[in-house]
Amino acid sequence: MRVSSYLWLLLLAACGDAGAVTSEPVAEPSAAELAAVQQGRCIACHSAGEAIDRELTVAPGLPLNVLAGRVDSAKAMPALTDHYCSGNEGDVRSWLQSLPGASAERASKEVAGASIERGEQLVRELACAACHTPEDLDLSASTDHAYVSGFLQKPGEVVPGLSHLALGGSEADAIAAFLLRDQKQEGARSAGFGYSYYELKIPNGDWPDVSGLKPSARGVTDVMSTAVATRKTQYAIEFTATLDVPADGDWRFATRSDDGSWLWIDDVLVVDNAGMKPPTRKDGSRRLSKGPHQLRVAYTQGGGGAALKVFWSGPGVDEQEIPGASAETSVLRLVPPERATTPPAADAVARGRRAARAARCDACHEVADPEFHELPPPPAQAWSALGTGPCDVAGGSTLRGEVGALPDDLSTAMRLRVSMVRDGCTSCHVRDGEGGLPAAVVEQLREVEDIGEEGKLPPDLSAVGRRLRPEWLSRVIADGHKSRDYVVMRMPAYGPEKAQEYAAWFAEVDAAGVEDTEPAFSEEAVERGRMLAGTGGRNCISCHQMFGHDSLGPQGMDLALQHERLRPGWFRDWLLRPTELRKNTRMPSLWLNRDEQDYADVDAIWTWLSLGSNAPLPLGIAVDASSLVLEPIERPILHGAFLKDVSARCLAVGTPARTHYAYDLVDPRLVWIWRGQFLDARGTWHGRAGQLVTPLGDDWQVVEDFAIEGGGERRLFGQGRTEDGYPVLRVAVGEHRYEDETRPRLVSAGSRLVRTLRCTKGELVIQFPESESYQVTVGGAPAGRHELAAGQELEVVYQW
Amino acid sequence: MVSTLALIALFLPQEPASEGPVQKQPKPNEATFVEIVDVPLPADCVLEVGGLVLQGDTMFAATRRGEIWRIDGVNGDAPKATLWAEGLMEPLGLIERDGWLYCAQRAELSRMRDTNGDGRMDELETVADGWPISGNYHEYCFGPTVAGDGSFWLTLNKPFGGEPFGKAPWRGWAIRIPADGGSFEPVCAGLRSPAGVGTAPDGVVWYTDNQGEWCANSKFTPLQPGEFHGHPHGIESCKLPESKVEHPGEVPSGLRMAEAAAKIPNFTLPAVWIPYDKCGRSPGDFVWDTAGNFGPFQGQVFCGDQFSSEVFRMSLEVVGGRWQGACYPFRRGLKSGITRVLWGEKGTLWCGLTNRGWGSRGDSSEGLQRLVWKGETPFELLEITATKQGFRLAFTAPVDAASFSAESVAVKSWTYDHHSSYGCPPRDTRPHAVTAFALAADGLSAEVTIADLELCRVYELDCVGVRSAKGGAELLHGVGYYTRNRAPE
Repeated sequence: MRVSSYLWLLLLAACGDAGAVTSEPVAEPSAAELAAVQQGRCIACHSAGEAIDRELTVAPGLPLNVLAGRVDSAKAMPALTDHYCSGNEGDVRSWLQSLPGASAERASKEVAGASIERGEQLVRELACAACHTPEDLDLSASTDHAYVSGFLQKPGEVVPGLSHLALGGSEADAIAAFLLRDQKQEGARSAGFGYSYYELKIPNGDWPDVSGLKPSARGVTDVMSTAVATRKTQYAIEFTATLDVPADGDWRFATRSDDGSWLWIDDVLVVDNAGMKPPTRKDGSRRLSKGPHQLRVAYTQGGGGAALKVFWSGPGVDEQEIPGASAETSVLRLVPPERATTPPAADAVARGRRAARAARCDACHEVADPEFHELPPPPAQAWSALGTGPCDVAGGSTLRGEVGALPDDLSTAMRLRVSMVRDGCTSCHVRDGEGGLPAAVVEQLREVEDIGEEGKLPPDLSAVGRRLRPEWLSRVIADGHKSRDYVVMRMPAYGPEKAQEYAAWFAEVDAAGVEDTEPAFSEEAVERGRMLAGTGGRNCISCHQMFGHDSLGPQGMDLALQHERLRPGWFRDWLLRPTELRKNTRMPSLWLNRDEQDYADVDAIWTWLSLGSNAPLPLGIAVDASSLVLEPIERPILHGAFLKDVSARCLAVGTPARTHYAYDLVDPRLVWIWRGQFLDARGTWHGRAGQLVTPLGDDWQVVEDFAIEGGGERRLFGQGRTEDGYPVLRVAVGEHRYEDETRPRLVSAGSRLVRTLRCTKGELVIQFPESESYQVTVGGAPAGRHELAAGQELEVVYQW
Repeated sequence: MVSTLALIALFLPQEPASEGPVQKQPKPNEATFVEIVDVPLPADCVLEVGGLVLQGDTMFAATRRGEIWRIDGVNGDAPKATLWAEGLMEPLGLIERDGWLYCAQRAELSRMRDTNGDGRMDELETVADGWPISGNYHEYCFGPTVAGDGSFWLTLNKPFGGEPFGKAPWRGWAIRIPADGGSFEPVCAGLRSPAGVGTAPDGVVWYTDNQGEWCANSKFTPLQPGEFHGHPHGIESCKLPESKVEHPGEVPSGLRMAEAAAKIPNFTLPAVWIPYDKCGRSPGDFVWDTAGNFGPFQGQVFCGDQFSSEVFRMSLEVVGGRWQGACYPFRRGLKSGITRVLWGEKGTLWCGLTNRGWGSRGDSSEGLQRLVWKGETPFELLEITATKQGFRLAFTAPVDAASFSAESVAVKSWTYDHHSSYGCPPRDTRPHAVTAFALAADGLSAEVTIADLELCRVYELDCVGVRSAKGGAELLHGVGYYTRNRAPE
């Protein structure tokens, strides 16, 4: 490795030790030293070669146009002094005041009553302080609510490439209110629910689009009911309030309405009571922390009777209508400080522009001033030309330290470590004992499941490349996807490019040479794995969810994710010795012998999980009784329904192998095959029902069934049931008769449907059509023309 | 406003303490005579009842979810429910015959049995099919009931709204299926929402219909092949060769009921109009009490209401060659809308409940309850029958002759319009004077002569002033609604 001259810039803020100066030159930079160069943004001016530049470059700062809007704040001048403008602060400020952003109007904003408290709670629970200083978290003097809330929701639109948390609109509003908490506050708070009443035609059971509509009335009410309406039919009401939840715990909400109603807590739909109907009750529940939460209730009245009641119950509160005393509707108006309006002097602006150009503001900030770019750029020294010795940044900077040599390139391990500092990963996560949340921040986190530290902290990333499949890692980093619902903190989304880079780095650093082998597949292993996971086995479902169904105890990570998420070798190691791999984990050691039987058990569970959306549900899983989603667990479920684009006389069959099919019974034929979730019976079992049903789940194929040679109308004349609950259709074609029975068969990483056609009278000549989206085989060969005499049967396999 | 003094006075003893507490008889009410017993069922057994069959202590209940539950020990405190069949299409009836359970799915009559005795249905035969459905939720198929000749009868509801698979024939018809199945005959047209279909002791099939468009008011009527019951939705099917009903032509909207009966070919007036909100709202299933289950009301019809969660009764007589009669309140207070009724052990009427899709009185949306006759006979208006000049009122106990007068019975009448709008409020409502009366010597009946009698009207007779000979008690309900289509000669 060629080593050029280098400079160590130790950020005082990062190191926390003003006197720390390395006394002896070091041959190899450490990760902390590299991170300091990176955090100091040195590379923005002093190129160290393409490879190093790429690793040590960080996302740009805020556009100067945005910062120009803040130059009237007390923080502006010291900031300029520290940003290479020492001695020219006044002129640079004049120039900044000439930018359009400096005169952009700061608007006051009405926010929900308890927004500041809710914002403070969010800042605490999301651990914002892991990356942001207390100064960062107070913007009261420098900007307005619209900007902060907009930035929080879409930071990439202000600074391209910034990661972002998936904040909902009301969350961003609340956090913004907290960040602006010292602005002038107007407006009083009062108990009750704010409402907007709209008169419009309600054509169906859905919530109408009221955006752009002016409410016929607005106001505050003590009780959410239809009393605020001023006519009998065709209207909608929207109630909003900040709900003061008196205790941590599970809160149950319900609406009883005629016609539709909906209830959201913190932007999450908790009660969906849609539809045109007589008074009907719907419930939903949500785990809430004590304190303020945003409540929104929408109600529609078409024709006929009208009614609305909204209930809650929770720790210490018996079911009752939500009292107005527990709600606050008042709007709080945040008024930003007024601007100093003196226009800057033209000569000062010109001097400031030159000073800014000389200070290379554009190295880190977008500068929207054409005249700035017309000025000749100052010369920039390459890193190698800086020499060695103490860092002495001209023009003022917080940077202090010592210059040293930088290598041409970094090892993957080093690149990963440096990048994790740069991207803030180690601000929250620990990896190999480095990084993690400061103790003061951890203390502020909220625990929602009783599973110890694992339930609260972002996961330790040590060996993460050996634990997680690269595709899964990539998904987590790209989208901020979170597998741990019980951790309140959120993973930021970094976009697909970075995600792929990280996934590859982790795989290379942590899992080079690791061979993952899948155990051999068998249906017996699936059955054993499923048995072990259930209440009659090792009871994984006592702590783990499965396909979104609650566990019986703390709501641990969904088992259904694990095959897609984990590398097979790690799964085996983890189940066999969890506490060795992660100290203090709540995952119990259930296989203590580590003998062949233990290995077989663990492999069986993995084999079961390898079926993905086909994995049969474990026995003992508690399916939410209020849901009408049908979950076959022990036996198939048969569901007579109207199937969309098929007919009004159909039979859908859901199987525990999570491989499902449907027949049309009018002209008896197989019409659909699919996997995963079976059906939502809501279309057939809810309200007046009679909805046209489509499958849930994945891999839905519409089947074109075989034709019968010689034609003749097919007619269903009966049905049998096998002992294990599968239907056997009995079909007549003229004088000829056959039976039609379909069952699932599990195979490695998926499933097939096996259909048996049994001629019971006369003879049958059938012809299967060709299909591109699924394969139909008989004895391993594509199904074609087949003759069946009475007593003969044909096994037809559907694969897709 | 009640003053504080008055309130205090309320709590002062009204009688001298030395006389002891007053033994005040509570005024009898429906619960005094008929008890409602709830059947506890497990949470996974959502019993939206479409049909009931009782075999000893085991109830088979077909549900609107397409399931048939087998409930063992149904008469006891801890019934055990197991799923006997599933995957059916909204069966709204269930009967037993020759070891098979028969139910109508939406588009077929099926029969089922458990051949291996494992407690689950394993054989289903299609007895008859061929009436298509368009895919509209409201195309319910009610039944079967078995007529005197052994044939099966079904009533086919008409659709409301979208028909995604195309308009289907025979909607709003009653169909007859031979005892050995295989085919069907469309026998009556013009039904709307015929939620109850059952067979009278003489083997004739009757049905109830629910008020709505072209059905001025809920009604109870025998199904005579060839007759048209007023709703034009399905009359195009009259042109199909299988039809047993002559096409009635264009059905005019807005005719007074007597005029409609005279003008529309084969138009059938109901035997009993069941006045909306006076006797329920949405009648469902009915049974004749041939065994004297409910004391003095033997021979009458008991009908459940899908909205008001009550059972009302009806008395019938043949006048001028056709059935007509009256309806009376009986027992309110069940927990949900009643779709099916079934006699159980002596004195027990099982009620299958559901209100999904329409709502009802009561605090539940489904379930199983039973009415139990407690054995005591209430002082009640037993039945109303027509006389040439008025009506004969029968009572369950002797009436106090001294207090009986022309003012004892308040009479009013009304008719309806046959029109396309949803239901019809009473039209041309009039009070009637009782011009003469005669109480029988035994006090058990009275004939009242009524001024201004007309045909094709409903007469409300409210025995407001009738008191019992013993104790001067009021009648339990004392009101009935008589449909006077014809008068005795």
